Amino acid sequence: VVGVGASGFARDPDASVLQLAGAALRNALADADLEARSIDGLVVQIGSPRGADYDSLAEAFGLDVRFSSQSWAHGRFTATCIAHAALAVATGLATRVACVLAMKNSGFGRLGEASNPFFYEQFRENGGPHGEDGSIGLSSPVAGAAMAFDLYCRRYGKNRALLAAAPLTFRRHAQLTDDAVAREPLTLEAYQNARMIVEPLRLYDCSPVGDGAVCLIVAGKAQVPRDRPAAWITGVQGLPAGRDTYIFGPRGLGVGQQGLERPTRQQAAAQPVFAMAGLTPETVDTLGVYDSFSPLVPFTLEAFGFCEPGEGLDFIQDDRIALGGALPTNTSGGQLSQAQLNGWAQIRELVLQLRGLAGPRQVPSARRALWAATVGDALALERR
Amino acid sequence: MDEAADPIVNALNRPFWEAAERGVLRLPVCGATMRAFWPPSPLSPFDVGAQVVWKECPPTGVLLSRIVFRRLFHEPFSVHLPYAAGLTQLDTGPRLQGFIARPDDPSAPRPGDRVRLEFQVLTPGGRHVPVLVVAPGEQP
Repeated sequence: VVGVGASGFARDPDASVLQLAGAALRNALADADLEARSIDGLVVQIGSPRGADYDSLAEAFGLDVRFSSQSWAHGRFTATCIAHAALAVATGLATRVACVLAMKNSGFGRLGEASNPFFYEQFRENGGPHGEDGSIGLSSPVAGAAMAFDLYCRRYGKNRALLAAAPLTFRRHAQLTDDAVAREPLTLEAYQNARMIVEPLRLYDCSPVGDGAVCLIVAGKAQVPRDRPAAWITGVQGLPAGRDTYIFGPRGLGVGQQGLERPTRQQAAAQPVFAMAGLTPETVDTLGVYDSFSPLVPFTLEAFGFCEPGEGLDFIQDDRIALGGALPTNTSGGQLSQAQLNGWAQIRELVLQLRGLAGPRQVPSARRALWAATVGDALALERR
Repeated sequence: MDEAADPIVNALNRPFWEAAERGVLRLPVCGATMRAFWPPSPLSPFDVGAQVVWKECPPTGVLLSRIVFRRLFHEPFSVHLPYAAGLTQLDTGPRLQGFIARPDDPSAPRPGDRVRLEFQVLTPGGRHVPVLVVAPGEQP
């Protein structure tokens, strides 16, 4: 990753998604000390109407790329987008690939409401991509996370109040992060008194809408400047799919049509991203977790072998995932406080951590980082 | 924008929705393993080469989990607030999600309860959709 940049993150219904993307690209190019004409590949995660499609981006910014791709407009393809850029570089399809997440949500109302472009996904044949079923009022992605979390707490006999540690920890991190959308102090009392959105999940279990853009520039070994530390992509893995996967629940939980056998901690730690990167859960210095909704934090920790199945809620207690803890996680505030940007702001934060540029949030001597999502999307980065 | 709540009904799933109008649970079944499955598919998820047939199934099971909507996402359901949705382990194998009315009422089903799937119209002029009610006496 030779360059990283972002726009500001804020709820701004008047913002243009091309303006947001342009700011992120300009900042990433400046960071990489590159001209726009040196970009010959473009990978886009979110197209219109929430984002901008690859063709309008390339045209507006005067790019002339020979490789373009664009994923389904969901956060689950975040690391896959970056892997796609790395594959393009490795195969010679491109030399320097700009990976862009540009997203504007605030003009569209809430997810699950009819004004939102995602509204009709709940009526997709066989149900929505997060377990939604509009015909019985089971609307919005948050419902899928709530269903999995209710089932999880019953299966393991866990007190659901333990979940507060995730949003409270990340809010403290956001207070150290200039571009976080939600920086005001959050107390346990305020968390517990906040309104239910879909029970058992409350307001602060849901990430705030943010409009913004992040750009990463991925290049091959020969293009990496030698005069400063860089974040190297050392591991990726594909996105699993099948009857045993559920976007907001770990494998084997038994939500949707999943089986009931949870992978052991050892099996979870043997996922391809670890093997490719020569990494283990114990050697990760800082972690990014896809946290649109709080339950995804314990779920992801279990799914990647940081703890035993059923122990994720205990793991996040006692500041273990806070700056200064054993596994500093979502150090720029996570999606729960920085902004819902499909994990891209977290990956940018990991790059900054590895380059020693995270300021008051710096994890001392951070060398190995992992970004991961419950369902299996993952990216390993290393300082070299 | 249109806020209809009706499911998409077509050749893939019409046997389910037609049976639902009669209050009957009909599910796709793998002709090779005779296992019922959900959601519908033209290919059996247990044996891709097998015939898929539709069969009436007992509408009973256990409620596994439940979530409660206390704010409105979808206008046609405003009259039902607060309402719940539940994940049910059907006795016949697959899991199905259903609507739960008046979740704060003591008679509403809670996780662990034996439940029966009924089909009711929830929105004006809408289809009969799965609704979960307590059914203590109905064992598999």
